[in-house]
Amino acid sequence: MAAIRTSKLVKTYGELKALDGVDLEVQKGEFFGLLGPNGAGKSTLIGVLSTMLPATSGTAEVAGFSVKDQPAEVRKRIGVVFQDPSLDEELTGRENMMFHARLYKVPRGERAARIDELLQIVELADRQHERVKAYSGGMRRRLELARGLLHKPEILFLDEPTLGLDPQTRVHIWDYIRRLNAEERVTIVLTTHYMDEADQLCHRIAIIDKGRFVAQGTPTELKAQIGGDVVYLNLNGQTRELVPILEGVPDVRSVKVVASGLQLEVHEGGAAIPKILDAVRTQGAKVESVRLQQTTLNDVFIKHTGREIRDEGMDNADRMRFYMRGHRRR
Amino acid sequence: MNAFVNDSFTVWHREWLRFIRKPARVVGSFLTPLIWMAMFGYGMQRGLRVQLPFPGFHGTYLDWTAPGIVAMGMLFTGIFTGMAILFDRQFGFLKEILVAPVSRVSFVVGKGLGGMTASLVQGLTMLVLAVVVFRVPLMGPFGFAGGFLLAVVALGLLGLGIVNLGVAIAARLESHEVFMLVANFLVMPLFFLSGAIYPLTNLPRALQVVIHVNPVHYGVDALRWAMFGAVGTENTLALDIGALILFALLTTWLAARLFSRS
Repeated sequence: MAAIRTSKLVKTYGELKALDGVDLEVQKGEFFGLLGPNGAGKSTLIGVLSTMLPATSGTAEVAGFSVKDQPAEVRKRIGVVFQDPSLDEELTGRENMMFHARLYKVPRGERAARIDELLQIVELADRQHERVKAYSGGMRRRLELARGLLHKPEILFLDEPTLGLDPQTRVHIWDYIRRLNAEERVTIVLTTHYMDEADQLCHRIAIIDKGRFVAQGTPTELKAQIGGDVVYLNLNGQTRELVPILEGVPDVRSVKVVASGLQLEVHEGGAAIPKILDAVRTQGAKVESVRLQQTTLNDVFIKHTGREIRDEGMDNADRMRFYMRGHRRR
Repeated sequence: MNAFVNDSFTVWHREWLRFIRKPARVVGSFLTPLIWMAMFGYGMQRGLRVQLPFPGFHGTYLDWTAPGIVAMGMLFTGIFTGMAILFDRQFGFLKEILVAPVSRVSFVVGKGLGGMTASLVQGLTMLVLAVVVFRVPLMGPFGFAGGFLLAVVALGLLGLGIVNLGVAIAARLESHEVFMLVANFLVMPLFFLSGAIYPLTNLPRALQVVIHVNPVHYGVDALRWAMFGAVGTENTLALDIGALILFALLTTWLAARLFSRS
C-alpha cells in the first residue's frame, strides 16, 4: 500500500513554479529521502503533503486520504518536524510535549510515560522543567523531534532534522528513527543536506531540482547510474599491454591510461579489485599501489543538479539563523 | 464536541501558563489604570468640581469614573492580547497548531478564553484596588457579593469581546507594527466614546448614537450597575448584558472566520 501518492502536483507562487508536476509514490514502511539544493521545492512539497499549503493543481494522497478534501484525517496520521523552530519558548520542554500530547489525543494514561521515554531518548530528561528559552539550538531540535514522535504517527516528515546537531546526537537520533522505521513500520520522508546520512538511512531517494524530480531510485541504483566506482592502478611496467586484458575482466566497464597508471571504471569497487589483481598477476605484472574511489551520493547530486549540496547547504540565511541560535542559548 | 472542548482547553491552558510567567506584565497592566484613577479621576473631581447630572447620586466623580477606567485598562491590554497570535506566527509556534488535527475554531475559542481569563484577573484586581485604595463604593442593589458577581460577568464578556477583536485584527496581518497602528487607531475612540469619563445626558444626539453602538459603553454601564445601581447608570441592566453577550458572540464568530481563512 502506498503511504504517499501524488500526481502532477503543481504549486506556483506568482510566476515561480515551486513544484512543477511532481509524481511521487512512497510505500508504507519506506525510508524515503528528498534531496535538492535550496529553493528546489523540498519544503514546499512537505508543506503540501502535510496539509499546510494548498496545491495549485494535481492531487496528493497521504495515508490514503486526500490532503485537499480530508486534511483532518491526514493530520491525525502524520508527524512533522519543521525546518524552522516551532516551539513555545515561554513554556518548559515538558509543557511543550504535554501541549502536543493533548492536541493529538494521546490517551491520558499513556501521556506521562511516553513523554518520559522520548525525553530520555533525546537526552533532555534532566532539562525538561526549564523553559525552552534557555535551550541551545541543538536542544530545541531534539525537543522538536521528540514532539514529532509523541503521537506515533504513521508517516513522519523530517525537514532537515539534524541541521546544527553535533555528530553524537545525530547518531543517537538516527538510531531511534531507524528503529522506529524497522520495528513499527513508520514511513519516513526526510530532507537533509547530509549526503552520508541519506546514503546510509534511506531505502529510496529522489533528487529534486527546480520543482521537478530529476532522479529517483535506491542509493546503489543512483550511484550505479552515473558510472559506479573508479579504481586506480599504479603498475611496475606493462601498463599499456594490460588494457585489453583488464577490459575482459567482468565488472570492469572501461580502462583508460592516465599519468599515474590505469584508471578503471568498475561496477562495484570492493568486488572488482580482487578480480583485477588476479588478472594482473596472470600477466606477470606487479602492482605498486591500488586506490579505490567510490562514487558518493554527492557525485550523483552534482551530476543531476550541477551544484554541490554543501555549497548550497548553508546559504547566508541559514548561517545567520544558525549563528543566532547559537547565541540565544547564553 | 468532546474534542472541541479538549482542544480549546489545551490552548487556554497554554495561554494561562504564559500569563502567569509574566508577573511584570500582570502588575503593569493594572498599575497604569490606577495611576489614571488617581491623577485623572481625583484631579478632575477636585480641580473642576465636576457636577454629575444624576440627581440622587451621592458618590464623587472619581467613584463614578472608576468603572470606566477599569474598562479602559481591559480595553488596552485586551486588544494587545490578540496580538499574541502575530508573535505565535513570527516565532513559528503557529505551525505546530496549524498542522495538528484541531479545528481552527477551537484554537480561536481557546485563545479568546485565555485572553479573557487574563483580562478578568486584571479587571477584578483593578476593581478591588479601586474599592480598597480609593474607597469607591461597591454597593448596588445586589449588595457587595452580588455586585462583585455581576462585575465578573460584565468584565468577562467585555474582555472576551475585546480579545477576540484583537485576534480578528491580527488574523490577517503579517507584522505587529501594522497591528499597533490599527489597534491604536481603534482604542482611542472606543475609550473616549464609551461614556467612561463623561455622561451621555447632555451630549448632542449624533454623539449619543455613536456611543450607543460602542460595545465598551455597555461594559462600563454594567459595571456601574454592579457598583451603584440605577442611579448613575444610563441603560437598563438587561440591555447592557444583552449587548455584551452579542458583542462577545459576534467577535468570536468574526475572529474564527477571519482566522480560518488566513
